[in-house]
Amino acid sequence: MSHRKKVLQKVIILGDSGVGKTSLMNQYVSKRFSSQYKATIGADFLTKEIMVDDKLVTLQIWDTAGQERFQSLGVAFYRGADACILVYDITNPRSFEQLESWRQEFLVQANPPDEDSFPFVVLGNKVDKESERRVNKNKAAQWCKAKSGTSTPIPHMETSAKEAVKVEAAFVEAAKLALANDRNQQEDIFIPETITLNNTGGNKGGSGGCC
Amino acid sequence: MASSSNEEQLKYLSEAQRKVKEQAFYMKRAIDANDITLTLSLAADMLRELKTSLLTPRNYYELYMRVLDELRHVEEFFMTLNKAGSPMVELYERVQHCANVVPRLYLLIAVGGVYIKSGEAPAKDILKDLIEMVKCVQYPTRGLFLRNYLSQTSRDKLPDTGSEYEGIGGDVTDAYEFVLENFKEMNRLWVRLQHMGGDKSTRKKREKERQDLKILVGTNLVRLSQLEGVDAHTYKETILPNILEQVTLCKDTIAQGYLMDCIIQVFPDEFHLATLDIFLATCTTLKEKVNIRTILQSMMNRLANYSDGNADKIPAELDAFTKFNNCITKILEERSNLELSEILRLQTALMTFALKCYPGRLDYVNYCLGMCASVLSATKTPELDENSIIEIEELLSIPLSSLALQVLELKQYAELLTYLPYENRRQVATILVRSTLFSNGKLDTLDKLDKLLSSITPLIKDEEKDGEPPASDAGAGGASDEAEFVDEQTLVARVIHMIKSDDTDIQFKLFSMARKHFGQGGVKRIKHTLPCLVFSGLRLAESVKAREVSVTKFASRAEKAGKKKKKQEEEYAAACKAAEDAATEEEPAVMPPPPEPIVIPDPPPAPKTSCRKVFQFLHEIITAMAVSYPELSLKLFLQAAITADKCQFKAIAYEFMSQAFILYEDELTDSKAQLQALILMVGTLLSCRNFESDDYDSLITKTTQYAAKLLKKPDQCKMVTLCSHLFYAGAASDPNHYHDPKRVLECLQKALKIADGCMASSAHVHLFVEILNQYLYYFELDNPAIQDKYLSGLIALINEHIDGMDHNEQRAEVEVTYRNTLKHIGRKKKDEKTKLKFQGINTGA
Repeated sequence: MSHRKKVLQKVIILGDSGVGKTSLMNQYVSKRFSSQYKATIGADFLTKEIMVDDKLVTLQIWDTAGQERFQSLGVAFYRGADACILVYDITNPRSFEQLESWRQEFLVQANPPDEDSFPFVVLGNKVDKESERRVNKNKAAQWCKAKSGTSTPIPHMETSAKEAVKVEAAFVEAAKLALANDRNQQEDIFIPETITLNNTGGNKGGSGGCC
Repeated sequence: MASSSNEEQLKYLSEAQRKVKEQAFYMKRAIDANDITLTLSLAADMLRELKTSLLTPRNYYELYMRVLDELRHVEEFFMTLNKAGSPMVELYERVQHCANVVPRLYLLIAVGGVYIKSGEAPAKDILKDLIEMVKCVQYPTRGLFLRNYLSQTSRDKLPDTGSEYEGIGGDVTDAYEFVLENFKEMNRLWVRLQHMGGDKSTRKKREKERQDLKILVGTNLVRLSQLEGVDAHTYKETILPNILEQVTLCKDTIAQGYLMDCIIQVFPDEFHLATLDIFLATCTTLKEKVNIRTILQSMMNRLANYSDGNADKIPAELDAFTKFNNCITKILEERSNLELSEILRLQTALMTFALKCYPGRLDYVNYCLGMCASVLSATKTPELDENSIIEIEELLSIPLSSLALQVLELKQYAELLTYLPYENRRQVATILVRSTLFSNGKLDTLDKLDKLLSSITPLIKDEEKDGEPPASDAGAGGASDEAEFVDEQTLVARVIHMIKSDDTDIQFKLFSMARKHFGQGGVKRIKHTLPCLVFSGLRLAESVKAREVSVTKFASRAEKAGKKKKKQEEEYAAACKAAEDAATEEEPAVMPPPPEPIVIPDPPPAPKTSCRKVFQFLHEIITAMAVSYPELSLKLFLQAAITADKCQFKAIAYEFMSQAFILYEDELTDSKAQLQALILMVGTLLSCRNFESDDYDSLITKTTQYAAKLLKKPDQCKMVTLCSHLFYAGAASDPNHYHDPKRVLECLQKALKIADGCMASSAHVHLFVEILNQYLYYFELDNPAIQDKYLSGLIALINEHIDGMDHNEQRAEVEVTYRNTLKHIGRKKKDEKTKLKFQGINTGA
């Protein structure tokens, strides 16, 4: 993306139905929380501009449906993602167990250039319900260590969309990792095979030219 | 559209994606060059790929996502232009010159978004214009995606309550009217796709395409639920009626089913509670092929989860149960061709709802069961289909986890059970027993026990086939393998432990009832169930005995009190008389004060079922088992003898012992079993302390004879040695002790003789040492018949034989025991207290 002035980062939030994906996004983008449960259908994004390391980044945050039946058109929106946030509910062990299948599904469908270094962030949501906790924090941390493709574990945070605990930090972490990963990646750039003589756009230097 | 093969699809898609990439590349350069005209023209070229009608919805979506990723750069470019001072209204006009309708409208929406953001014109006006413009595209797939882009772009620009566009930009009414309008049009396009020509073979394909596209329509409902300004009231008065109007009017099966599901999922519970009436009213008008059951079930599940056992979350005055029930009743009336299993499923769903939302309302559960019972009794077909059977099993299992034994109070429960085949009834019965155990159920009345046992007959006895009696020797029941069968019968046996009445008379009646049921279980089952009943019966015997003792004690206390009272009265009368006699005319009689009256309390009620009767009952059970399980019965007889002895029933204890002896003689042929039984018999006899002396005499003589007749010599020897204790039972201080020193000696001498005959197996030395220890034991107890000379003789004998033994493990073991024995004697010889007694023993040292 080096030739564009602005940086756009696409972040996908995945996880089981009811873990709080929409709530996390709403809390982060609009600082709002509602305890009413509303299912999400399909996939939708909201954008938010933030400064990361003195760089203005537009985060395009994709909230997705946790229920498969609400994803009838497939998951084409995974493509081009720069980071993926995996969410589980600390009061629901099943949602934690499902993380692996979400991660696998994402890697298969999004097909990032380097699976091992692709940035994931794992969030255990609903820490406001500590008394109902059924997923051990260490166990989750261990999972993050085991599933990391690099020497550093996948970042793991326990959040509360309700009480705005670590929500901001989680998204900033995802954005930072996405940016760092970007610098190490070759961009998927279109290279013209033929020179189109009547195309006035073609006379401005080589492909991917820097500005 | 999209009639090509999969391969062609992919080829076409990748070609289109390549073109998008190419146009996007030049377009981004044009953006970098700040060339508006060129950017617009290249963007239009790129967007032209979306004009295709060759792709399936999923592939079109792939392409659409690609294009949108690139279009984002154009949007940003517009933003930059706007920030630099270009008025958006000009750009808004300019993009409309684009020749192609699809690219033109995408660009218009992209500019429109920035236009709203710029604040140059009220959001509501731009939105109204856009929603008018997009009407140009009437081809379903293209129209649906275009409108999806409009929906996505406008999402954060609606003049919703609290939004920055509220005010001049409009209000929440403009916001939801815009979304509703888009929803209406999208639903129309979506439904129309079904009718886009084609024969029967394309119909299935169309349905598949529509199933894929449905989320685009549903997304509008998500938008509506996201509006901050829409409260329950607006939802009830405007939003939901508008949606439901579309649902009803479209008369399309797929749309009706899907949209009702979406409504349930995307709007919050509070909204549903406020609109239950209109929602349910629409349900009854849906097309015949729409699966209403899943819709109602999903709504009930949602509300049940919301209530989560808190009865106050769903207001009582709402009467949700009645509302759902009325809806179901109406559906059943109107849809006569509904399958039986579907009807049952509806009732199961309603019952589950009632259990979760109204935990205390057994009448609701009963009502649902009753409905099912009446539907089933009305069906003419004798054989139920598999789905219905599964459903009835489900229906009867669900209430168990929360109600357990309480289900037996439900009138229709037992009746419904009869509709199930044996195997399914067995499954339900297993769950019933488990949940009853889990909830610590207490079976304290005959009615409860009878109902439970009748409900779980598949666990208690085999299926009765018409005309033929159950095979009495089989009794394997429906359980597929042995382990499962044992688990199941162990579970049944635990039912006996739930029988708990404080009144021994009732407890006895309950046990009698249990025996009647379990007695029919066949040979295989009684092995697991009846022993449990015997042990519980023995406990009952002790409780009855305790009651009898307290009645007797009370009687003697009452008698004493009566005597005391009489004496007191007599003394008082005498004192009065003396006072009168002593009185003179001057000094009138001074009567003594009446004494404190002695109250004789009412006697405690005597048990109607005597302890003797309980034993008789147990005798019958054990006897009945004896034919099939002699060893087990023998053990139970011995156990019964111990209890009878404890309860001071000498004759009964003797009878139980005799029965055990008969079994030993007649049924036990295996030598190992005989040995085991004998050990238990000796143990039992030693535990009993109340036999008549003659009875005891004959019992121990018999036992010793059995011991001497065992098959193997070493066994004979060990058992005769053991039997010696029968002749020296109880400590001297025990008034019931039985000491016959001479016969103890006889036993030991007999054992020695047998051991002497075991030389061939060289087990004799080991036996000698064991017998020596027994001698020593009696010697220390001061048994007069056991003299030191016998010990000296035996030690000499062992010394002689031990040297002849082979050096092996066996010898080493014997030597250790022997050495320790001699050491013990040595210590006793040194001890001041025992020195004198032990000095006569010659250890050969």
